[in-house]
Amino acid sequence: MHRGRRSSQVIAVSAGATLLLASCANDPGAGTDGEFPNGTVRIVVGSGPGSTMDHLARGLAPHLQDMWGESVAVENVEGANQSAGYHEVANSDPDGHDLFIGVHGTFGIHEHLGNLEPGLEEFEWFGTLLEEPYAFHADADGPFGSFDDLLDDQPIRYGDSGYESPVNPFALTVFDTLDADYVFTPGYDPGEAQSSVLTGEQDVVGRDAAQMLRTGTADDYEVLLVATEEEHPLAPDAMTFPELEDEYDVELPVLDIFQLGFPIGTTPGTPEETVDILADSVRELIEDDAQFQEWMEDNHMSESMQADRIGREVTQEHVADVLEQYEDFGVTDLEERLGNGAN
Amino acid sequence: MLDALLEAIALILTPAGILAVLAGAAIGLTFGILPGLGASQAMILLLPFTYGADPDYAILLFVAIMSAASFGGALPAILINTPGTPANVCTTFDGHPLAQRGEATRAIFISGVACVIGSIVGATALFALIPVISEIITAFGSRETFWLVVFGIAMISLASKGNTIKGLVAGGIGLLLAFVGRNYVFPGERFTGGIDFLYDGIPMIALLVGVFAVAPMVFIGARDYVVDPSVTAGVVAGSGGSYRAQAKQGTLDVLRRPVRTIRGGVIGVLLGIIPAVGGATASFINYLLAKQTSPDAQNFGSGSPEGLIASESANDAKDGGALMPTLAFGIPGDVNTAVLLGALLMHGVSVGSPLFNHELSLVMIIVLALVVGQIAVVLLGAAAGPLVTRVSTVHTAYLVPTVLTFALIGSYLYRGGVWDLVIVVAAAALAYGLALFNYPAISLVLGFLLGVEAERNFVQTRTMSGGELSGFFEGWIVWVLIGAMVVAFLGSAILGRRRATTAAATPGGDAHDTSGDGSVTPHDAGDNDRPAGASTSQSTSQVRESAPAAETVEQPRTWLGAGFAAFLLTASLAFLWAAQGHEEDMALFPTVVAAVTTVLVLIVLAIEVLPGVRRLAGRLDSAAPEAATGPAGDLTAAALGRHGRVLGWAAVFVTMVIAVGFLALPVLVAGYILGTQPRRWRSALILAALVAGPLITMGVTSPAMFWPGAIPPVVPDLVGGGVLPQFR
Repeated sequence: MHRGRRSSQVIAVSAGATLLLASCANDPGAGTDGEFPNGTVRIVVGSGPGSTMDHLARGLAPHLQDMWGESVAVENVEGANQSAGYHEVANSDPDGHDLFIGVHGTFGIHEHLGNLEPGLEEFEWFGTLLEEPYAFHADADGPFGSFDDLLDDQPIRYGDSGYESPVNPFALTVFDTLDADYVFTPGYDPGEAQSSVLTGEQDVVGRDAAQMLRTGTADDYEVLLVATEEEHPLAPDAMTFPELEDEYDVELPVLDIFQLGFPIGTTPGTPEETVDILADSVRELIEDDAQFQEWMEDNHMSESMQADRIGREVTQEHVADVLEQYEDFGVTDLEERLGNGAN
Repeated sequence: MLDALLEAIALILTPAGILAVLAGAAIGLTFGILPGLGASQAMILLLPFTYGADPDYAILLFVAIMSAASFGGALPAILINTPGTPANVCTTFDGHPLAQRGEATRAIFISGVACVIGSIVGATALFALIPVISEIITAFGSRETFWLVVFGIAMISLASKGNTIKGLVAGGIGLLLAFVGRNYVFPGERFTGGIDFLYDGIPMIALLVGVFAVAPMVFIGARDYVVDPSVTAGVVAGSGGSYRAQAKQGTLDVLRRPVRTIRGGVIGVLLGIIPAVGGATASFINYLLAKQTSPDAQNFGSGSPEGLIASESANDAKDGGALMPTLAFGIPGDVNTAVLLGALLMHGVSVGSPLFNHELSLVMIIVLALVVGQIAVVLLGAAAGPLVTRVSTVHTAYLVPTVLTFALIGSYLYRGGVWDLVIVVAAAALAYGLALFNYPAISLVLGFLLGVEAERNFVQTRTMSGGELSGFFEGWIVWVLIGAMVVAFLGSAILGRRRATTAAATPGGDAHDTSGDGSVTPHDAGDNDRPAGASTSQSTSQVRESAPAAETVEQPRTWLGAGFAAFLLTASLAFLWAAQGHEEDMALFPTVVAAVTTVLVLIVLAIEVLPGVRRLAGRLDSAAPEAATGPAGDLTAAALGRHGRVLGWAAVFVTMVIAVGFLALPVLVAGYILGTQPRRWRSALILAALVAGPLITMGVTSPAMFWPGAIPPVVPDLVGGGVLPQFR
């Protein structure tokens, strides 16, 4: 009885103290003057610090903050292969204060696997921040000086993180088109997949053309093939798709899903005017902000960050294209198709 | 390499670098002083708070903590004969007698200078490895890495507290837990039971916090003080001779014995490289070796400076050795490096080739931090000796809620997942059960940390060998690893038989537990209201004294131990059954692990309930003298009630935080203190206010990091109004 009374007292005092402490704090709510932005804007990325998405968000944040005069915070919401961050923003208030940076390929696969609610096309995408073609990288000191050398050494050993990796459609298409034997080894961490090429365990790894430049390891790798129509400025010695078509007499179109693209968007239902302000702000940084352009240059993004990819309509069209191409390609049986590597 | 070294030096000399070293030294010192706690707890509590910080500074902080804690643990070992960490057990043998002679300051300086030299030897060894590490790593493909993971788990199980079979069971359960969630090799998820928040797997930080931070509190909170004040009554710090003279004498004691000090360091490094060999083993083996080769052997154990040097130099040097497999292959050498590996992974640092090829400056930071952290803590510790008694006799009524508060906030901050808090309590309860029944929790953690890596390398080896089993057994490195495991297990069995023979010949004979893996056991945590550090002569004698009483609870012990084994059996069978619901590729490795674990648990069950099998296991397993095959902890109703009370409070903390938010914590802290010490209103209010202040500031300035609670809004953004993510 005595113990029960003491517990009641403790609980009552505890509850009172909670309210007292809480009431001491000020309401940090955003302003209400109706103009955008009128409070802290947060950029959510679905990965941890250090990823390209995180890098992009942290590059944009200070410049947008200077432009808007409001705090711009980056938040890493990891989980469910980036979809946790997507859902976090998708379910926020539709006022444009919550932005999300993703990967076209990853979310195209998510959409086809039914993992997104609301769906990818309902999201208010307003730009593709960065887009670079995938490329095959081999050990610069290894036996493959060209893509031809690689084809002469079948089965080709190709490794990556898993069957769902957005690099796989590029690799699978190239190998199938050339009727090349290959062994796909899944399960590498991204960094390990690259290292496995240097250790000789794998022959090639698929990465975007500038990946090795950003990590300062470009000298260690030889770019053998790049998914472009024309010579890529960051991989001038690599074979392009048209060159490969000519040499092997095959057809190999450059698809959107062979590009690593990073779209930025906000909560579905956000007013169009607000989404346009967001798009205009990013476009302005790319086109006119000297400091931001310097940042792009320093990070090897000048070629791949284009103002004409910013805007609601152009991005929504791009998302629709990616989805259509993934549907044509088929993503639900990737494990089986990659497992049948040796023709 | 020189560039990387200079870059590391420049970073350490920045204001933030100096601050990180000093903070690491102070934190490591404090946690080292507190028996039952150590570097791993300090690091795990701080880990989530460094999320988003510059990884270089965060890792600098952690290595400084790691380096500092063992010297911190030497202070209570010298002053009050209670080792702060298991690695300081041998320090009590000669450190405390020196203090009793009025030479505490001399002993502290012997310990400090030996620690610094030991850490220099360790750091030098790590530094020397750098030029050849790339060659070594390149020799380890998927096949070799798979066997290295198996080797690591086997060695941890063999060397940890508890017994080998129970260690392997814990490792198997850890592996199975690592398979929960999205598969990193094949499309799809496994073992989530349809629970959405498990899609990304069991959150690593929440599991580590539960095992290493909250579970020890269950045992520590069951008594009044971290160290009973009666133990410190005869403290002798500061007495006898001038401080300066003793400091000089202590320093010269070490400097006049350079060969022995450096030899201790080398032995520490070599033992540290072997997974599972903790500081306690390193210092114990070096102590015995020093005693056998010293002309001063007769004074060992009664205040010999040489004995103290032997303990401390090896103990600190082993960190450099333990870091080698951690940084090169991601195989932690001990519990501290396991947590450090978690920190590296959380900060996006890839170990192995990427680390040595592209982030060499971070390796240099780690090398330097081992030494500068040690120097900083020695300077701090030399001045802090007299404070040891105050810190180590802190009332648990204040320590437990403070640690719970840090643990819960930190777990939330890691990824903003409020349900992660449930994992903290669940992991703490599991680790409590493991500790109570003598399963090494470090094996579970290592299995969990290496599970994905094990499966990944298993699948890769199988893929590259076209599904042929023989592909797993190619290459000399594989056979060296398999041979080393066979030798280790055979050696263990032979040692077990010898020990059994010796014990039979010497009634009451006991062997010092030198595993020192840092994982919590009731002995470590000082259960039964006795001071921590079961390996000291003092507490060993207490164990002996309590043995007759323990016999009276043999039946409950047996059945409780069998009940816990049955729980683990159910878990492994559940994984085995669930694995069959997946396609072959996804099911294969979990099926193998679950099947092996199930067989091992069945053996444990037989050991628990069949005395004959128990005796046989005791004879075969050097890590498992017969007593250790059964439960380790106090299983009386009173003890279980005390433990249950703390676990209950942990559950209340989690429930209230999920419902009411972080601002429930000050109230809960006060509630815990008043529930334990009803008259301590003033202390309760002060500590509650100390917790509330930073939390309110955090809520106002960083709302994205603040959980306001799931109840309807009461105070906007601070109490109520949080959106609770779907659990299912």
